[in-house]
Amino acid sequence: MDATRPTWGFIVAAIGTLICAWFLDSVPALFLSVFISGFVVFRALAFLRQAGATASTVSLEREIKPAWIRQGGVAAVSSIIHVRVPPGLSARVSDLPPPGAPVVQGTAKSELVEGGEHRIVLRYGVACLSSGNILWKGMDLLVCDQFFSLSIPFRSEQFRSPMLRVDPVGIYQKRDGLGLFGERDLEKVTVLKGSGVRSFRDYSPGDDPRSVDWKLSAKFGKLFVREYAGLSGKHPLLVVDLPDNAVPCPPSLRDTVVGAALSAAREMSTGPHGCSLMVISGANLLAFLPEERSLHRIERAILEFHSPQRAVQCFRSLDPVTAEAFRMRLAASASFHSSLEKRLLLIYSRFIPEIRPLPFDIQCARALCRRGEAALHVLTTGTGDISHLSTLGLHARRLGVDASLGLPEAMASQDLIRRLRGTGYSVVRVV
Amino acid sequence: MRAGLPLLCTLSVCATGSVIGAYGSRSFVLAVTAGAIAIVAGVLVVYFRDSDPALFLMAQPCIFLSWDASPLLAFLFEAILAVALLFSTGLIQGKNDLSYCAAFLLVMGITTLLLSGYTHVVRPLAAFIFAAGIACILVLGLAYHTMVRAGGEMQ
Repeated sequence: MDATRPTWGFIVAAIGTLICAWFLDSVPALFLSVFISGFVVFRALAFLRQAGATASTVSLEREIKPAWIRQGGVAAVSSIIHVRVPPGLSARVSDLPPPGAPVVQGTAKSELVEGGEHRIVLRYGVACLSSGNILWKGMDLLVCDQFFSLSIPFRSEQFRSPMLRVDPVGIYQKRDGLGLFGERDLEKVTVLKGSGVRSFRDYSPGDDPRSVDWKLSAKFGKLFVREYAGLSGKHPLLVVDLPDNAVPCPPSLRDTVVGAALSAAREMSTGPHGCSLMVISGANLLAFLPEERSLHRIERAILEFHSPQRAVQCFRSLDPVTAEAFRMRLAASASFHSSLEKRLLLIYSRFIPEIRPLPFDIQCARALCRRGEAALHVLTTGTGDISHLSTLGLHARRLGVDASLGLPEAMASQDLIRRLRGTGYSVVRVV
Repeated sequence: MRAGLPLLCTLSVCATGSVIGAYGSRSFVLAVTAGAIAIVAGVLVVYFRDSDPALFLMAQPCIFLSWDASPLLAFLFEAILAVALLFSTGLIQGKNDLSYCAAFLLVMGITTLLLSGYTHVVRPLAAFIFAAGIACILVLGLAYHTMVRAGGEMQ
């Protein structure tokens, strides 16, 4: 509770007369001091009672449009506050936007309203700079009269809702070619039509009227139809690798990857085969959506797991095929080498039959050997262990699937790119 | 009519009353001077910078001087001024406001009676400081209660 200037005047007067009373031994001065201080106390009690009564009448209806936006976008907020202010008091309402969402249009603070029943409407826009599900901080009600002012905070759930969902921004760099993943026109007719025209021919009954080239037909006086170039159809699998919550990862890296994944998934979902999506965190499969067309499900799968805990770690796990290759190499040269290599050969020979593939290996193999999977696109933060990326790349190489990988610019060190290229990814790019 | 005129009239009444009360005593000249200064200053305040609390404080010297005539007269002037100030600032509009004001004046009346019976200041002063401490605790507690009940937590 703050005192206004007149109240400070009263307090100073009361103290001044009290000092006079003390030093001059004056009862009238003491009376004045008592009366003025009593007046201040009386007003404080009456004001607090009225402020409490005002606070009990406050209700808020807040509406946000749109309720789901991308990072950096502006959301329009409309807050309607009902409040009954007792006569003699004034009130001002301030809506408190979430942290990282500054007000960019209008104002979130009302004018000072006098006594009576009021319906205060606040319309403003907030720029959403942070991502995730964000809630308002609440609202503040400033109640004041001639002598005191009090700011009453409202922080309960009903004053913080509704929730605004902000998707992180990321741009998925398209590969060279026509489509998202580098599709190309072919000089032959295929089931998938490209955008280029390969040739023209005479119209024959049964041809699609939409393929008639009316301009050419008008020029030569007979119907011509366009023959479109074929499209080298790719049916990619998008893999989103979320960071481990045990490894410190800056939120910007995660947002970049999630944003790029959302961007790519949105475009893929409109394609002929929908979006095949695999959400992983290390060697843990979190979600797998084959040929999904529902954008809502895709977005939910990507955004549902913020920073998952990796239950399975496959750091330095030995692949059975790789181990067999080592064993064969050792066996070929065992007779010419030391006893250490002979012992290693013995260990490999005993150990390899006992190696069981990780569940993640089986999951990767099943996901990639599905009919028509022609490309693998992995988006990762590149933090922590990358053994699971090696596993994915290795499976892609074995199945002849074109694999590419995207990681944030901050993590794209030459050493990491070189290591990832060595594990089976033909393209390693920055997203 | 200007907003501060009712309180200025009240101030004039108190100033005049204190002069009448001081008639025949040693402080008469002082009361006339204080009353004249208060009225002139009140007029200036009303016409150049309207402030009801300032008018209330300006009347205090006149009330101080009227104590010698009668402590009850001083209390009466204070009560009139306080009610006029509350009325002027729009803080007396309901039954609750009136009841609060009545309780305040009752307490102040009793205090006046107590103070007027003492010849020395120290004992009532000690009592006043004790009462002020209690009042401060009461105000702070109520403020905390109001904020917690409305918001659920402190900022």
